[in-house]
Amino acid sequence: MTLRTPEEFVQSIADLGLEIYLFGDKVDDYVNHPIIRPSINCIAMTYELARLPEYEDLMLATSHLTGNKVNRFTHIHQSAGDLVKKVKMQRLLGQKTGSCFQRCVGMDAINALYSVTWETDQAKGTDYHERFRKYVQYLQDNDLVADGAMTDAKGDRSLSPSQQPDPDVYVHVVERRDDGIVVRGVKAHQTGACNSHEIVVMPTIAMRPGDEDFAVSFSTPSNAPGISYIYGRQSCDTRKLEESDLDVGNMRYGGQEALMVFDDVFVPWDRVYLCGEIEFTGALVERFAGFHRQSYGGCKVGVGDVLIGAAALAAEYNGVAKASHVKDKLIEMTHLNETLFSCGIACSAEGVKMPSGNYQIDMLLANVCKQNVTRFPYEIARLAEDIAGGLMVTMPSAQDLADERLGPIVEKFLVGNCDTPTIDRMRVLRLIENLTIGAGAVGYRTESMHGAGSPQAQRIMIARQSNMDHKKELAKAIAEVGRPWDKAKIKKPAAVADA
Amino acid sequence: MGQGEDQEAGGRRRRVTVPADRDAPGASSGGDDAAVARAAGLRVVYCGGCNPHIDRGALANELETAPVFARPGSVVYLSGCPRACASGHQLATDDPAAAVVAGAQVDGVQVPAAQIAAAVSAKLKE
Repeated sequence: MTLRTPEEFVQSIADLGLEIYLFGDKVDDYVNHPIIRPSINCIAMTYELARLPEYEDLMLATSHLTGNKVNRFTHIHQSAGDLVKKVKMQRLLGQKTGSCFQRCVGMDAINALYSVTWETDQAKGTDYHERFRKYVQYLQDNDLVADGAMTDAKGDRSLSPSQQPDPDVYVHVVERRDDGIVVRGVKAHQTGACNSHEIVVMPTIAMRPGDEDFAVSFSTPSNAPGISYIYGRQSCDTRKLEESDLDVGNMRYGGQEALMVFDDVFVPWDRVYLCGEIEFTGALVERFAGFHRQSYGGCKVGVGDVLIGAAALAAEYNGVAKASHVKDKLIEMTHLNETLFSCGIACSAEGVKMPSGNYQIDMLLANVCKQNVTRFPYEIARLAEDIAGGLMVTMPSAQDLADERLGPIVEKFLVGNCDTPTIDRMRVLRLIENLTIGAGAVGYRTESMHGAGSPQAQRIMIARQSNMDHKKELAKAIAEVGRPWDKAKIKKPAAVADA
Repeated sequence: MGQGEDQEAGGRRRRVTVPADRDAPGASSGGDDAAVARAAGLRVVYCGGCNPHIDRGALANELETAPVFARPGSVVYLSGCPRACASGHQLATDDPAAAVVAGAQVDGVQVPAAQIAAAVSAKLKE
């Protein structure tokens, strides 16, 4: 068993020498950059918790490939219990970081590819699955972080990939060689890309005839020649440059997204898992999305726990914790959060064993889970802002509090409950600000809306699996639709007739 | 419902039904009752039927009148939806004398509803 320490993980990311650009400049010491480092700390937490006995049950799993204990983020789910533990692990990490911790996409990618490569081989006589099993073992044996890269830039959405004026808006094969393929394009919104040792690329939509060059899945080291990253901005991100431990709200942890550029990247055949088999792209997209929609029933719930706790603290510090409407709002936030968790657990408990041997979540319930995630965090955030009060967006800065002349004024007038230091009240309000409209809101709000597919994508899947004919038959049976009706037998109720 | 309760005579295959929690692919034999059931012919293990995407009863009847199964003691794990409760949440089985129906899937492969019985028969034929 090789389980890295958090420090070893950070050093290994530094050693990759990734080509990362931020604010127009190449960032060489990216692991120590104040904007990037919080996101690295998040993934480091997935290593830290895996080494603690009190979290081992969730953080570790037994590899079906080697029998070794591995970090669950590199595991292929072998039971419905594994799926349940995955969601609980994600909740735990959301609680510990108050942020998107970014390692889920790779886990969801390898689990989707596991069954799809198997099915492709059964139908096509290819050997993708065996290649992929070796790759998964490589990830497990070396305790690596894999980024799951699905979303293409997509250009004109009314056109298929092969119809685009610029085909590079979808990652595609530009050359087939004896020893491998050469790919070009970009993957957008890549969560955790700059924290990953490996990239697992998948097509972004179900491909049609003519799109064969775009039906490509492969893995590559994240530092392969030709790959670069343009770091995405987040709300309030430059507060992290202020060297203040107060105004960022969550100074230690944060999310990360990047535009991942593939400029004629070579991929050897043993790392190619789909190349031209358009008929399997739809299943790959659906299964990855399904796993990722399950994930949100864990990770967002963990962050929600932090936000609910912060709102409860804010109420205490404001001196209103006993107000009935505040207590009721905290109950409502908890109800919404646990409803999200319920869906994550339900779609896991109803998971099925695929012919390939791994377990997959219940698709309908996973999509219901994510559909709720597109809504409930917004309501939880609204209630948190309601409880926090306007001060969370009007407070003076950390520099004012530290100022010799202004500090005592801020201290004196921003005190709430007299038992609570003003600085602590400000810290909690800044955390609520971070999660509702600051850098943390990228993960907690907009990512809840669009991550793992925008709301309409889930509604399409829900419609497809709603089994509406059965529901109509149930209604017909109860209402006795179609039964001959003899109106001659209709009589007025006795009471009415007597009157 | 119990095992071995369908005792039709006259050369017609007997359908023996058991609840899902009595058996699943890979599970050990259910003892004497199960042995009797296997000797009897096609055995159908039903899910509970809470959310059927297919008409399980009609499919079972269709399987009864399908071409003769060459393999004695064949089992069909018949679930109405992809959750595959009849087979212990497994979408497929390697057992050549068994087939898993889960909604419109037979052993994990999507099949048009009208062809499910034919797909099951094909799997169970030697």
